[in-house]
Amino acid sequence: MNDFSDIPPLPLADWDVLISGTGIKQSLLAVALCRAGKTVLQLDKNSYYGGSAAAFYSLSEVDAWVAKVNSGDEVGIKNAVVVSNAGEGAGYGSGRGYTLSLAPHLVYWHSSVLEILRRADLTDGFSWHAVGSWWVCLTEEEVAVPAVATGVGGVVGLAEVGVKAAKLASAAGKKRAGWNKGRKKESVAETTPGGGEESVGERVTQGNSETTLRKVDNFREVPCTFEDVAWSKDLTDKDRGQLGEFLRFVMRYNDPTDQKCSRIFEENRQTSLRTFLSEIFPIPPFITTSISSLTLIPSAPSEITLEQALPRLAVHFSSLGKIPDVRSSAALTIAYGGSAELCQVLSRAAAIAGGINVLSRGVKSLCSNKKGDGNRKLKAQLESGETIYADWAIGEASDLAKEVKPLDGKSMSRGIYVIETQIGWLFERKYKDENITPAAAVVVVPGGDKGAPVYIIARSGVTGECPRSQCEFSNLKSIVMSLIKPGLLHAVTESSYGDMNAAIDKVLQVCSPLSEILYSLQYTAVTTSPEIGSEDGTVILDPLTQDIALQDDVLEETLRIYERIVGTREGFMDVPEEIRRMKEEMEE
Amino acid sequence: MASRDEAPKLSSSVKLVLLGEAAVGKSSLVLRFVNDDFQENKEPTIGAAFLTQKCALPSRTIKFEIWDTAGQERFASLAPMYYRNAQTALVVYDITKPTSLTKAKHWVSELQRQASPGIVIALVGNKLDLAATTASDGGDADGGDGGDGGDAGSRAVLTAEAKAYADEEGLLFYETSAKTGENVQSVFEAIANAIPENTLKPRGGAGGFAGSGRGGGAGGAGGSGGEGRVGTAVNLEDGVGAKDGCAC
Repeated sequence: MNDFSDIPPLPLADWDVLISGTGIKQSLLAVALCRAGKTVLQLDKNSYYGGSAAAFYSLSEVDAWVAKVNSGDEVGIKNAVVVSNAGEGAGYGSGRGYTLSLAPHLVYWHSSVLEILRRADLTDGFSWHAVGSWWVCLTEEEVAVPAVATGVGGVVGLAEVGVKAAKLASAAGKKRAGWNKGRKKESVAETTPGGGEESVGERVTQGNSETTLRKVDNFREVPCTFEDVAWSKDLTDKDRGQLGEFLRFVMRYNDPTDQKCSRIFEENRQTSLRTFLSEIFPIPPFITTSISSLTLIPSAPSEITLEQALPRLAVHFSSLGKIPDVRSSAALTIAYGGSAELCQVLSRAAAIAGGINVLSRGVKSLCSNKKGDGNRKLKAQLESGETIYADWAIGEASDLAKEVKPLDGKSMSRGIYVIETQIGWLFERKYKDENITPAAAVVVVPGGDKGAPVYIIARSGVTGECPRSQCEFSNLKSIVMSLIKPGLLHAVTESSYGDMNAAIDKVLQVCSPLSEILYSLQYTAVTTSPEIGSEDGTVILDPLTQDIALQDDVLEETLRIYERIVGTREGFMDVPEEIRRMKEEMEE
Repeated sequence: MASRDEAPKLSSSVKLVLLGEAAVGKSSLVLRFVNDDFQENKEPTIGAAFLTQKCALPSRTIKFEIWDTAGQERFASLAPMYYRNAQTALVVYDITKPTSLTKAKHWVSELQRQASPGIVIALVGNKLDLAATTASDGGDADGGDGGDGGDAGSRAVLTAEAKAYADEEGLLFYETSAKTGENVQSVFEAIANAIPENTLKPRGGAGGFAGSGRGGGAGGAGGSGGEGRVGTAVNLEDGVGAKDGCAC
């Protein structure tokens, strides 16, 4: 990205840790190890940060990446296709163009990554935005028939549950103010809707948004907040009971003191979520589809096991209601490209803690340092011709000059669509007393019983990922500019590009008659398996998964590696004492 | 520095990024501005994501969030996030080292490419204390663009030359000494004055949304006039201790 010709040689040949790559895990480790006092050299063969979690800031950067993918040089990615209807030269200027991110992750409020960032004093390096509701595209029948309970049965008496639900509902009525303690109560500001908002507002069927799930044509909001479950008119009391009981189960399946729940879970680990729901907590199909969408697993419903689904549902529901000023939201996302931004901020944090980041310099070969040049365990030859020594080398196989074999397993289709149409309904505030407007939303287009659903993550212009000129079109007085000029749709599915396009079309059809895709990038991510059995000191990272939300595994893996190197997990990412003191002095 | 005894002035936060070749004195300039301090052989890094310092003008108070390169400039490895939403940049060179001005010009064009369109850029020739004592008017100091490094005792970049370049590119221009403190305050005041009023976002009294450098984005909370706190960014610091409980 830079064209400075005289890049100097590395300041040292001798390091505690060599990290090759600037992805999320690599960068987390770089910060943690620097802060633990290790000397860390972090390299990247690319001229940009992030690796498979990178973002591209102009369409010409995307073009370069696509060319690399299609010539087989980008490990784990294949078959990239760009379709551009943007005008000549539009978006090709760098820096202020589109931000097309390969990893626009959602981050749950109760995710271990967010917790660590807080502890590491790094959260204020980002602009965090709320992810609004989940929406599912339902069939005509599902939309038309207002929820009808499909059966009676299960392990709990319905009558009993009905009573409980009623109690919950009235308790909620009394205690609503306490629903979110973190919420500022000072002012419930009334917004003055801009012109765009009104016209969009008409499309949204919401006689009373507090008690009815929002619906836009075939898209219906997923019931999930307390109010939804307790009051929504779209649910019968029976549904309410079953759903409430299921949510209780979600929060307790992992609790060893709750023998009933853990027993049900143990017996059904491998059962598909769908089957489990229909047998144990019978709820109408539209609710099953809705619940399933919260798992963010882009596989066919029959393939999603209870064991996979429950931890994800638990994170969702335990996060819900916790985000200050936006209680209907469970997750956040980072502006300017999600995890791509995370990687950059972390790498910078590593540099601040004394590490060295060098882009455009890859590892050419890595072996044990047998000849005893110094006493480091490993010797690495870099593409630049330099030789360096380190006790540890961390990276994905492809970044450490190790052979990578593609797995036959699943591949994931992904797409990024730049659209110019009104999808403001996705970003409206759910409750009037929320002071934050969501900047992202999740839309799920199910693929039927056997087919994989398409997950669409919509990001509004507020995330700063579209050229300013497009955003500046709109009236600055309007509080929610996204209503007028939207941004990007990211799609993820185990299904085909065709299904992905069809799903995007479904969203666009609802949006406005003027729907248009300005630009799209599609690609296929393939699971790769690293070579096992490496030299002492070499740590091969698992490739980043294609998950929609940043998973706790990411942190778990880095913690494990940190422990191997430092000897303990204690103090992971902690700010060194003298820096903390300096910061405190500065605050005064 | 900011006096509290008067009626509260409009206060806004401004992201300032430092750029320039290694060892030209970027961090020292900041240290002088922030702590009125100077360390002879300073370690290259600062240790914080950014430092803050207020600059009180007659009409308003500017709170600078000063971002240092953390050494990432050495390998041309600054990330796009570094430039993002920077309202102003300090591009520093060393008046005893002509190559550092060449580098500075690179950074200026990099800023014009990557940063926000309205960014205020100041070109700063540092190490003025090393200039020949007769100097500042740029008498034809020895060597012109000849030697760097070796004759570190004297000026090698003419004031007029750098000034001409700055004028051409529309940059503010100062020569400073972080060591003596000469002109350091003036640079920051000049920048504070040069930032257009309409790009400043008021800082809501009790910690509104994240500072300008981060929260601003493509326009979200910008025009909302400060009251009501309706916006888009989530303030993470608020809810850390939020009560547990679940949806069931």
